[in-house]
Amino acid sequence: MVKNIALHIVFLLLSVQLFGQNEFVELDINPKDVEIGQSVTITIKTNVDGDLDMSLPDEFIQSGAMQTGMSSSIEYVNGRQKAIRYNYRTFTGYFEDVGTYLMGPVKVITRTKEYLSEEYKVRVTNRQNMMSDDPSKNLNKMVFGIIQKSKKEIYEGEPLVVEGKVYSQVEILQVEDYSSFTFDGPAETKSLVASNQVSSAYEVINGKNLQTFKIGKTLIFPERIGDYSIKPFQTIIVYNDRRRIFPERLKVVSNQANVVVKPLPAGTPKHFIDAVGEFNVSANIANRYIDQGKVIELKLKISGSGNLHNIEQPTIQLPRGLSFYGDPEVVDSIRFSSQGAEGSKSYTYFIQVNRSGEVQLNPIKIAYFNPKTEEYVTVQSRLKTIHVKSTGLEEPEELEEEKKEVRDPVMQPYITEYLPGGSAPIDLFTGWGGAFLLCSPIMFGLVLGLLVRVKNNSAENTLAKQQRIQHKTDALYELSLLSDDQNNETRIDQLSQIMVRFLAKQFKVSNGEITRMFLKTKTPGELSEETYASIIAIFDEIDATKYGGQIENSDVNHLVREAEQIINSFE
Amino acid sequence: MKVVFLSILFTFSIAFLSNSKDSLFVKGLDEMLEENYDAAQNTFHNDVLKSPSFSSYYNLGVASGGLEEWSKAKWAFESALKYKPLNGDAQFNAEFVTQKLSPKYNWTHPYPWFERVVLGFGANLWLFAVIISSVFLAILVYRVTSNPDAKSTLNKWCLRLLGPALVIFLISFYGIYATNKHYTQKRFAIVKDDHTPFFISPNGVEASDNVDPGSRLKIIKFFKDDTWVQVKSDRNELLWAKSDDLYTY
Repeated sequence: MVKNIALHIVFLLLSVQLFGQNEFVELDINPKDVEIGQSVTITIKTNVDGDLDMSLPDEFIQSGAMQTGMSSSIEYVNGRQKAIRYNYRTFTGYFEDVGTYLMGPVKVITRTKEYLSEEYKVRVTNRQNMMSDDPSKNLNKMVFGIIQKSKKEIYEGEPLVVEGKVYSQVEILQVEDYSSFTFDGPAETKSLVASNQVSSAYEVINGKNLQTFKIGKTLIFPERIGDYSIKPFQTIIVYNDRRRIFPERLKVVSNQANVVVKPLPAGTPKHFIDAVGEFNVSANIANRYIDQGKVIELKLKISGSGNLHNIEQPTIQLPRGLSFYGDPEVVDSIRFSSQGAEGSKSYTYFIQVNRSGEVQLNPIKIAYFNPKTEEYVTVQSRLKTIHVKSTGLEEPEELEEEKKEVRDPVMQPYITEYLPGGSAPIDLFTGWGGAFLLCSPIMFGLVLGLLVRVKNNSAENTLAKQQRIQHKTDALYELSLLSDDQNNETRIDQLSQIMVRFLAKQFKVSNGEITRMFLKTKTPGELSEETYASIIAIFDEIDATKYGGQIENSDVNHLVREAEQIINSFE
Repeated sequence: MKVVFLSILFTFSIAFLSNSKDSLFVKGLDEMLEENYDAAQNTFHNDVLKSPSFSSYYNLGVASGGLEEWSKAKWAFESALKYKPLNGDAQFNAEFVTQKLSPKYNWTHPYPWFERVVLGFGANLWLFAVIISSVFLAILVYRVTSNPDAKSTLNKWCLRLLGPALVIFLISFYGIYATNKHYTQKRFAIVKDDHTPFFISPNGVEASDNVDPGSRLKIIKFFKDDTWVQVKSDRNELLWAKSDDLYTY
């Protein structure tokens, strides 16, 4: 009875405790910087009972089975222990393509609410080329291990990636008691993957299908130059022996590897900050418009990959009147990957400005050694001008300096900016050749305009000539039709009209304007004296015939012939 | 039209490329920062020989001032003013070093205000204006000459705009001419030291009068492959000197 009551109390307390827990959904991804094909473990923890939903990128390939279960952990909240119970799901996979992938958030949907986890970015890089001894030389062993390394020779400060690889001619079931390789010298090591995380694959070596797995990927930063060895790693594997009922255990000890750490080449640049890798620098001033005596913040950020965590603080030389105000603040944002220490290192310098006017700081320069090109590289970041408003108040030291300057004035300081203006003459536009070149469009326009004008005039003349020929042909044709008409009076009238029409078209006037006076006003160039006399004569004869009584055919025919002669006399 | 546009683009790209900072200038700055004025003077001198610019001449002046070579500093600052005649710092420093050379000498700007205004606009602007006005004039001239009798509104406007366009063309043409002359012609000289000898004629009798070391001499002409130069002093005396004894700009 007492036992039953006690059990009820215990269950009641547990249920109250469970009910009192805050709901949570947690997503854990390990590691977040991987290479193509490298195993990624995803763990989802939640104490919420509901439908779980998580979308994964298409490039993520799930491998192996999903493990689910229930677990609990102890957390300390306000000095008190608190048991957290939760469900978990764990699965592994790998990425097929290079890129940065967003994983999460995980949703747990209940009837009343939706719970979301954090989301993480996973950066996938190309698989690093690793060097190792030839595995085919070890095929006499059932299982053997080889140390792989990123380079045989590295420069001082350059990161070295080392990884163990196990080859097996039997089926491996489990890996136990892994003991990592060690660098035989002073070095800083960073483990890139958890030692219990291995990804299995199959490789064909000399026609044999071997099971392989990689283990213990580590980043090593040797601290001194010299020849060093990497001592073997060892592990115990559980494998399936077909001749036996139960799986067997085997201790695997790998080979030993060697690496040479070379000194950096001579010719270290002035702004070298002990950086080996690839880096960039950016700098800016937070407040560029300030009063004299105030403090500005110079933010300097060095980003890149290599031995970023070990670089020296860049040296900044300030112009006169400026001084550092305390030590700079340093903020690191560094992660370790097969590229070395990656990310950025930010420095915030506090600078007191004790002079007024336009103050130009020198460009911030850093130099690093690039092991890929085997060259020193100097990069810089320019800073904008600081505008300092004078307050009239000077620092005591500055007052003395100012007084001294009053007694002994000095020149304005040198300038760091390559000021534009005063552009040098362009040879193309100097001398007579230049003048000709600059005037050439106008001359071209003039010549082209004149050519177009001549062409237009020529076309007009041709058209006028064609029209004149046409008028002449028309008039002669009309005269030829006139011969067939039997009525002489009509013929005389029409003859008169044909002549008037022809002359009107010839002189580009209306029919009504063709009079004797009009014809008389024409210059010899337009109408010759002879032709003029013939025209007047024919008009007189027409009038005489018209009003002289009976009109004979012969008279009319004579007039028509005369008219034809006159028309033909025009060009 | 495309060809005209490409020509303008080409011209401007040449002009802008000429403004890029060169490595000698950066090296000189580093040496100035270390207060190594000797090396900085040498570097900036090489820089002005290679690619003359306001900044290089100005810093050469500062480096020469740091070495107390005031004649060279005056030459450098006044040469810098040739490239940027309105710059206040260069004027201040030119006056400062002139006072060092000759406290009695009253420094004046080497270039008259009209020239400063013309130069202030810059060769690129004049070039742009002259090209645009030239092309515009070409269009107007073409319209007017090809259609003399046309009484269209366009032709009337073409005739009205012909005058202003011609004025702009002539002004910008003068601007180009003046700018080119300014940069290509050496107009002034400064004595390298107090003992620079002057002569009545090349290789002739030495002149007895001394020239104020702070004064600016006007160059009249060069003689014998530029080995001799005739200058006019403040007192309007025509004197000859060896080119090597003078800083010319």
